[in-house]
Amino acid sequence: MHPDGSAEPRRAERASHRAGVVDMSQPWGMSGPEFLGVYAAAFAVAGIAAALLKAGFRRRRDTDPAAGTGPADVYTLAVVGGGTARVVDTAVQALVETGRLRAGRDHRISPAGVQVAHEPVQQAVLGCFDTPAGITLSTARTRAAASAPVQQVAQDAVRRGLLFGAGRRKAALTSALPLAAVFCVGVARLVNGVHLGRPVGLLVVALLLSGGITVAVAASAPRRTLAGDRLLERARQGHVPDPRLFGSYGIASYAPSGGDDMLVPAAVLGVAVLGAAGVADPDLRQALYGGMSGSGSGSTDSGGGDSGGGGCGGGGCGGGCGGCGG
Amino acid sequence: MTASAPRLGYGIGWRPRIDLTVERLPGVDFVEAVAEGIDPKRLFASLRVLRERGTPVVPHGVSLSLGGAERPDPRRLAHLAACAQALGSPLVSEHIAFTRAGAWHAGHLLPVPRTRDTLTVLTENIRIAQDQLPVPLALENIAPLLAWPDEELTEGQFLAEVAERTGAMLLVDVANLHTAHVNLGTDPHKVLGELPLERLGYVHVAGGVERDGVWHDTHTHPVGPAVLDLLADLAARAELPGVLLERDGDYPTDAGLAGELAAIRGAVARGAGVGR
Repeated sequence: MHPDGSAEPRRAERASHRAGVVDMSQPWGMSGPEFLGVYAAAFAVAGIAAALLKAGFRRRRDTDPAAGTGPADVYTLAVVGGGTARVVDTAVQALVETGRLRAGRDHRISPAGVQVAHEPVQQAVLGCFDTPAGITLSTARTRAAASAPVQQVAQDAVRRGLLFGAGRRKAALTSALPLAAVFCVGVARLVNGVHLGRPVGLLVVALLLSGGITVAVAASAPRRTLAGDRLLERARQGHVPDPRLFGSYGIASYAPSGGDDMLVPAAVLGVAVLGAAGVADPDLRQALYGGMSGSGSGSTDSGGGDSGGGGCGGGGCGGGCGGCGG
Repeated sequence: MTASAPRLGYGIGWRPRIDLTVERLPGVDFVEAVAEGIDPKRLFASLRVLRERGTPVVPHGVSLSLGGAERPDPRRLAHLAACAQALGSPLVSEHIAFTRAGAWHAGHLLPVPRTRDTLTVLTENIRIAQDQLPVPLALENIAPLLAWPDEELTEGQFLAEVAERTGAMLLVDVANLHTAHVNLGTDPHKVLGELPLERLGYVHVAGGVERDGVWHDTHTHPVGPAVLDLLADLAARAELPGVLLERDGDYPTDAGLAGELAAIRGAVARGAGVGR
């Protein structure tokens, strides 16, 4: 068409593409858009593989079909449902029910009356409310989740096969390997494209998205076993024996000492199984959980990390300027 | 200006720390909120809930310094008035005390010398306040740790004179009368006998503690029998338009607060049964 022939190669390129011939003028024989299509498809397949690997990890460890079908106390249900944060929430709800904690509309929870509890988890949680002004539920979770009684509840659930213990991080990393492999191919394509001076903007966007997904998958270690799922499902259907007891089975020091005061009110059981959604009283629910972001409200059973923060050791005239004397 | 006291019933001091508790306590007919802790343009949600429910909210000032030599601070006065407007309050209350002199702020309610000169200044300040307030004013006796020398009037005479000259209502704090009894040797029953009880707006009841012979009106201790006996005596002398429990810290459980309110009702019933 032109003396320099510039249109001819393009026409030939399109013709060879239509004929299914690999165009060796493109890096790796693929144009940029073609590579992006292939990359997306490969990433989707890798995602399916990751899900299968994670499911396989859970199935392989579900060796006892009876696990998760026995009795469980309220804290076991809580840790299975939402981790140690849910255990703290459950204890806080129990202490609110008995009047030893008080929630305000400013989302601060403050101590009331004598600060003595009848069992160690509640006592550990109470110990975190060391200021009359109170603390938020979020702070209570951070402080109390690291306490020995709460950690013991989590360890007990692992021992009973309801939660994954050590090794779940490795399982998460393993399941993310297919995604990481596809991601690495994308990075190699990027390096090559930059080297050849090709436009790489869309590829960078694709890599950012897929990289984020890969990291998220690697970080989302499976928390609950299939036995834990069974336990929780049965609890939701009201089929778990003895859920209305404080204490953790299998640990002597946690065994309920008996008596009516160890019975769990229905609202407390609701928090253990359902999180914030288990608090029927809307004002109380707002007071306790309203100051948190959605992800931190503990209203779902997919969250709830098993780690905590720093642990815990253990008037005036309404704020007016004139002080007391009135 | 003389206004008759509204029927308030039994109440408790509303504080942010116990807002939900106050909303839910059975038998709470009205509440009182410290005016200096309220922004009338952005009321606490709890106070809005109470207002929507029809529960009267009385703004209680602690910083007008009506007993000071200076005129009431227009901004503080405007704030108290705005609180009353925002809350639709039937009345407001303040103390017969001074809290500052010039640039010096005591951070505490200090007793005024009970002299005729003081009465003149105090009366003028109260009238200025009444002119600015949209609702009647009730004036409270404070919990004294000291008394001025050469006082010309007893506490009862002084309060009666203030009520007579200004038409203001009286907010009688029986815990503060007990404080004066322990710390200054005042006879609280005699004070009650000197008061114009037809000017009674409402009554404060609170707990305190005695340390080394000094009574501290802490508002963080349970109401003791001596204060309840004074309340019963007052109830024997007059029908009480309102009785309010003040609690500012070291809060008991909800059941504990309800128990305190029940004890207050019991004391009033006991007094009313004896006296009328």
